[in-house]
Amino acid sequence: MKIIIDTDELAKLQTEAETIVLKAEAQDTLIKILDLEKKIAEIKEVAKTKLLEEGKKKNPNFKSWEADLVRVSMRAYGAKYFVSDSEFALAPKELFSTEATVIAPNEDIETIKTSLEKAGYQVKVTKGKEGEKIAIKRAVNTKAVDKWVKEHRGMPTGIVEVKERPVSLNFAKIGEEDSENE
Amino acid sequence: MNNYKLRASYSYLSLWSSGRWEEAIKAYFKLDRFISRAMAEGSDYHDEWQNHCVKTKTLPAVFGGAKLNKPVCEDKKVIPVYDWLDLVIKADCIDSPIIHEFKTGILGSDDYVRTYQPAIYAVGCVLLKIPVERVQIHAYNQYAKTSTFSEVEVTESLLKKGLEYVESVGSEMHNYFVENGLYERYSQKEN
Repeated sequence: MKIIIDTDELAKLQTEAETIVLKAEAQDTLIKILDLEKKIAEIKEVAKTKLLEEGKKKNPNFKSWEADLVRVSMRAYGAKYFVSDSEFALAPKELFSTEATVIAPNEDIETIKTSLEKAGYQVKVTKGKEGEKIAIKRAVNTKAVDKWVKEHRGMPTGIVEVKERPVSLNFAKIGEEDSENE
Repeated sequence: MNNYKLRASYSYLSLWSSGRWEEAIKAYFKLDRFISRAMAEGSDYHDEWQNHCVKTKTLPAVFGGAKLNKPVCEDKKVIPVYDWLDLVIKADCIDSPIIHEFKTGILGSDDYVRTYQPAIYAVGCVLLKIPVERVQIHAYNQYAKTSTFSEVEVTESLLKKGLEYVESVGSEMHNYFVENGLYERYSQKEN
């Protein structure tokens, strides 16, 4: 793949952008900006692929590299732990939370809320579409589990670590990285 | 007039700079030595890895098993910096021009890169005239049985930052010890 960026054209484009107006003539400038944005995204992807290759060449466990200005790092995303259904009863309850979406009678919100609270449930009111069945979502507190693992020198029963979390490679100026994604 | 010298190591400086002064004093003067199970376990792993590196001239398999040239492991170096300051480094493995540091526990290698340890070890090597280009952190999570690897390039800026940290935190510690007579009180226990 060969990507060429004309820096003179870039400077001209900036001047045009500074004086842009909402008229048909502006389309050419806007198209050029969008094309450039796409080109830069392509270049970033090329660099990321090469950096990943280089990182793995350095060490199969590659997680990060840095010099004075830039940090290259691998980041796992998505949940780190999940609650095992088969061992649910044994899982320490303080390490995760459960949210359920229920189909309720066609009463006003306050009545439903009161009924659920009477039954011992904490009710979180949010605006959203109605579900068709009970949706139960468990959210494991990653930091609490990490602490538990350190203190007990092993995983808590009922909590399982996701074996292969999806990872992505990023590079950024040191001090300007996105916040951690876990 | 005293002529005590501070023997500054990364662990003492780190405790002091993070505001854990009491722990820093206890650790420095060997007043209270608590070894947790995790520390003991970490120490066992380090012994195993050190022996492996020296014997086989390769990194341990959990860290990728790369070849080493002339590994020098856990060699404590006391480096005179000023008349009031010695810098003490004990890298897990120096295979010039690479410093290898091994870690155990749940933190990833990138967590250690963000500390001053790589810079301080690099400063130590430069003062000893040991060529150094990179610091590599190998972290093994013994619970999940996974390893991570991070590398820091040794640059002039990194060395400058490292030396500034040693000087500034070290002088704070030293002045505190002098002003409060801690060297006199505990000198026989000092390392």
